[in-house]
Amino acid sequence: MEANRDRVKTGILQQLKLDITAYPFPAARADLIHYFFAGTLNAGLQQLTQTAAANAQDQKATLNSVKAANFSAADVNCVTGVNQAVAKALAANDLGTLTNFLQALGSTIKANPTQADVLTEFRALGSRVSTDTDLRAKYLCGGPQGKTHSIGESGELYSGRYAASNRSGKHS
Amino acid sequence: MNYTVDGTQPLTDQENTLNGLEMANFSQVTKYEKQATGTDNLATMADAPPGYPPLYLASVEVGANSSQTIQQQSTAGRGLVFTGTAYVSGAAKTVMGFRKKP
Repeated sequence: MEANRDRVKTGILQQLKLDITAYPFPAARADLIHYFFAGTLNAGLQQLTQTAAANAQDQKATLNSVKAANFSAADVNCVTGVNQAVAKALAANDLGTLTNFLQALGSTIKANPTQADVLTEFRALGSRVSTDTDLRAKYLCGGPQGKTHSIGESGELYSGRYAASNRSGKHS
Repeated sequence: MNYTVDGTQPLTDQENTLNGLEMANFSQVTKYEKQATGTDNLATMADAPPGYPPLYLASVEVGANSSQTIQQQSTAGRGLVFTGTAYVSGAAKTVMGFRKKP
């Protein structure tokens, strides 16, 4: 409550430097009323509730988090290439290629998936790739020769024995 | 899913990690702030469509004027998407995220 009152008081003192047209009497009276109520128990409880809610939200975000494995610049180039290839395949409604890619990397996806199903699976796979560097090596174009699952020369996705060389780079 | 990122890394490395997370997860960072304890930063993510534009980070000292940085990014066609206090090379800085409009 004290902090609440101090905050309102600071605002009033700052406004007092202004002339009468910028800070007229009705505005000063309204601020004084605000100052009075800022010190009441109700206002204190309201402030406490708001602060606690904000803290709880931060704690929830922290609890719902995992430590990311660092991505190198080369990783970013490759994962951007995969992302763009997925965009291209979705635009062409080429769900078969995307499904093959997902299955080759261990994802379980239902038969005849919709675009939304495919994107959900890619997000789930991406979540694992974000923390599992071994899986990331298979996902990206830097995987072992003949075992990589990545993107082709023209930006298409492969799920078999291909050595992808597409380095699309960070687009501007 | 949100991610914590090593705040002892320089800004460029953190930018790489955030871009990697965005691209792999088909998502976008909406908030980036230091955690209450330790030296990690917390990236809050939201879904984004495939092909979403990349993220660019910039930092200034805490309390310093960031308008020049924002202007420079604006000239490059990028808008401010978040700002917060985060660790860069282990020190608290005001970190801003920019990207081109999708």
